[in-house]
Amino acid sequence: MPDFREHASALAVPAAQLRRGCEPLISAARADQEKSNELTYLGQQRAVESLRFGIQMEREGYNVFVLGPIGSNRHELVQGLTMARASEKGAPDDWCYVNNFSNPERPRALRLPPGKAPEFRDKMHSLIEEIRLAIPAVFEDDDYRNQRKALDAETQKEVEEQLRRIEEQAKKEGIAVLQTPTGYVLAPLHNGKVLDDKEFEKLPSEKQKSIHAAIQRLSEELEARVESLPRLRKRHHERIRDLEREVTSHTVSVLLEELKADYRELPDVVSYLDDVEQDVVANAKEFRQEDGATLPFLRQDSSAVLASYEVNLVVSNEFGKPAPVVYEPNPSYPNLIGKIEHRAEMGALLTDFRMVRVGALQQANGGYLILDIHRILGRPFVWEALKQALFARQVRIESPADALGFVSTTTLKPESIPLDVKVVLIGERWLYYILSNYDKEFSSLFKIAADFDDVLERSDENVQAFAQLTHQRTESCRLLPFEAAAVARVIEQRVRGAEDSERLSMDISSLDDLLTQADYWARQRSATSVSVDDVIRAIKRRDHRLSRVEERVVDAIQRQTILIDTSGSCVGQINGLAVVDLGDYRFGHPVRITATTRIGTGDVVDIEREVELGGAIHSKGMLILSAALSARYAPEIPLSLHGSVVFEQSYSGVEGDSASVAELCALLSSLSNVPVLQSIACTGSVNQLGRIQAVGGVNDKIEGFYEVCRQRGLDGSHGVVIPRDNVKHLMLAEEIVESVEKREFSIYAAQHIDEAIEILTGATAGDRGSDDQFPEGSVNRKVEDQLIHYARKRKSFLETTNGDKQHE
Amino acid sequence: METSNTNDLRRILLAVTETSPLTRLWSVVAEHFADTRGELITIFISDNRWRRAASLPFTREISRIGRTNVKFTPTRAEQIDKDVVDRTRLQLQRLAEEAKLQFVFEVLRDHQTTQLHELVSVEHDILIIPSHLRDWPVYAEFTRLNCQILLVDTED
Repeated sequence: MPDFREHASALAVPAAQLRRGCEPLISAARADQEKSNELTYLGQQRAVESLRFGIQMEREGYNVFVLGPIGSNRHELVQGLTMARASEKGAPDDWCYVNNFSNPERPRALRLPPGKAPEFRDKMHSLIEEIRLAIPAVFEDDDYRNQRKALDAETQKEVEEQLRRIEEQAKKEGIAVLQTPTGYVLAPLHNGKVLDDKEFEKLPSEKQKSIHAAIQRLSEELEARVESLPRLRKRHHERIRDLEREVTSHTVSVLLEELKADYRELPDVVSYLDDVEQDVVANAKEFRQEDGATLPFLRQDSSAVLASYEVNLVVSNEFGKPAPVVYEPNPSYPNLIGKIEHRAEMGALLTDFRMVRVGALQQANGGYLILDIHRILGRPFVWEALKQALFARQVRIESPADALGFVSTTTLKPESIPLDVKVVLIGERWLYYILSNYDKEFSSLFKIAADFDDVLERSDENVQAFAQLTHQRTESCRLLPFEAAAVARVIEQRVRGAEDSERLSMDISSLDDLLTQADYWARQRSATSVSVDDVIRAIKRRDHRLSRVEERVVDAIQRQTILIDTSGSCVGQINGLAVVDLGDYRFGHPVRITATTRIGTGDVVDIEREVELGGAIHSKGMLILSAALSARYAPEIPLSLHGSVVFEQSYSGVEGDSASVAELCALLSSLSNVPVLQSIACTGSVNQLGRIQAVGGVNDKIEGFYEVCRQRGLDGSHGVVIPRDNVKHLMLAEEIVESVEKREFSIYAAQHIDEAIEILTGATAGDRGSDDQFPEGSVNRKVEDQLIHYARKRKSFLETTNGDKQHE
Repeated sequence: METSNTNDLRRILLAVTETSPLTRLWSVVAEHFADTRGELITIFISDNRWRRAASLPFTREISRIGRTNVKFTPTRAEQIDKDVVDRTRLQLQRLAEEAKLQFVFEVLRDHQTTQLHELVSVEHDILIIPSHLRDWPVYAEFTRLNCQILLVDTED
């Protein structure tokens, strides 16, 4: 048998390729702002170009969806670009809500030029104060009092005249008209004295009859005259009202004249002021605050009438300033659309135009509104409301229940405000794709996608730019300066973050975290600059904080609770590699994969799939390896195998096809009865032709197996087989690189399943010769022989079984 | 040693009826009371015409505010009389409080002329009478009193 090392050495990855380090870099500030912006946009040119196009395109539906991973500096970049564009545009108009005097349930929206609304509000406030003082004064004036007195006297005279006539007539007929507090009594008179019953009885019968008749007639006449009195009083009140209206109207029109002149260019404002004038005249009594006979709790509060002339300033922009750029971190329905507040009064909830509150849409009107899509989708009714507003190009403030028609009580319906806003949504890619696929309206409203890259090519130029970016971030975060070696180590960490030695991760958030934490450790030692050791310490301390689960898994392996052999060899048993992703942290660890084979009908059972612990991609990998097996060995005879493959001691779901090479090797070992070396782990996926393909998480997997082996003692036999296509992704810990340099540990890069089987078994895989046979003694020959053996056995078994049946 | 003589005390009497303009009459009282020592007696002249009219079985009260009329009974007449007396007393009391004056309130029925003579007994007493009382039967009794009479024009 050839020496294992001969097979392996050709495939071993040199230490130099395990970690592509970064030369120390001097990071210095770029001179000008333009260069500084370039750094901010580093690696995101496509997204920046899309964003610029989107925010400059002043057409309907050209809102922008910024898609990219969290931490890719999307918010900062979007803010920067929108603010730059906003500064080129002027401030938009101001908006106020005012009372609608003809329909108070529908407050009016008034538009004023930028900066004019606060002035208008203050002027209205002053005007009301002036009216409040002027109206009582005008009613105290002698002119008014004299006119009023004359009207009162005239009416009183008419009333008295009515009574006087009947009194005179009654007197002539010997009847007295007596006034009681509530009415009139007619009684017979004799010598100026009212007769009592005894005196009346003494009168002759004829006289009594005539008195009765006179009283009856006079009563009817008196009643008729009494009935005419309310008409007199009504006419009197009307004349008083006309007088008051005339007096008030003159006073108010003088006061409003100047204000109307100030806003003559704004017809809506002038129209509103006309309404105010009419309403003040109609409600002049409230300004006089006279003590009426009404009970205090029934009297209308005059402050409520005064409040109806207030101006509810909802959007105010300063003239000459840029257009608004609004980021709403909590886009709830009221925060986005606006709301109508209520106040409790004597157990009832009351509201009016002063309690209309606008949302971020109105605040950003004429400018830019930046929102996080996941926050919008996580809050009820917001997404639909946002789309509705963008489609209608106007915002109507109403509660969600009202919008859905669930509320039947009367409430305010403020006038809609026309909307001219560019919305920039920020979210992760999957949300964009889901909305694109399932929301048919989405594409017509968000025509521009600005796709942020996760990684940047690791060119010399980009590395240098990244060093400058690092400097920029340290300055903006007010951190200590980073030494050249420290910057290089930071960049190496970005490479590791990208899972690719030829790429840099663009996760700016985690970059900031690393810089900040390295700065902390530097300050702990009272340093004036951040060294490479500070960066390494920051990385290690972070890993330590998050590695509890990893330590428990390794501990379970070392205590043989989880059975992993790292020495010796075994038939049908191999060390695969798995990755556990905990969100903030992920790690790799070995997992034992075993395979068993026997005569069957050509199926390979994936036990993970059978018990529904295997994901779709894992199942696909298993089916591919079954196909690879049947295509490669004894293709002209039926595959008469029953194989089963399992991840031992795996109690949760298994996903991905990165174990398919290991699974195939375990099956081949079982079939060939050639043992697999337990000191070597394996990762990679395989296609039907036996080609090994790249997988993810290769660095974590190698480091996971290395850690187990290191703790048990490295002896030079340990190593990991990875796909050759993954070599460019290697960015391993320095410790592993050193171990490889010392020949304590090895990384093998295999391109074909035969290469993997040779490293893992130390035996020759074997290629088909001119006779179309694998070489005698090779693993492949043994596999094929076994499959032919199974086929023959199966055929013989079937013939015997069929013969028995016929015999029966 | 200074001694007090009750004869020095001057009585000011104010005769009022339900329809008398009290504020106006009170100002006349205040004018005469300002520089004098004495006591103030208000005499409410009750209108017994109501009682007399109520004794008739056919008398009805026509409402001031609408087309209704109800029987005018003695009980109703008593009630009106009492209400009017109470209201007048209250109004006078308010005026007296404002002027910080004490006063005696007496109710005089038309026929109780003896009581009137008991109240006015000194020559320099003043009796203030609203002019509309000239039509009342009690006015004849006033003119027979041994005091100064001041007739205040209230016909306006």
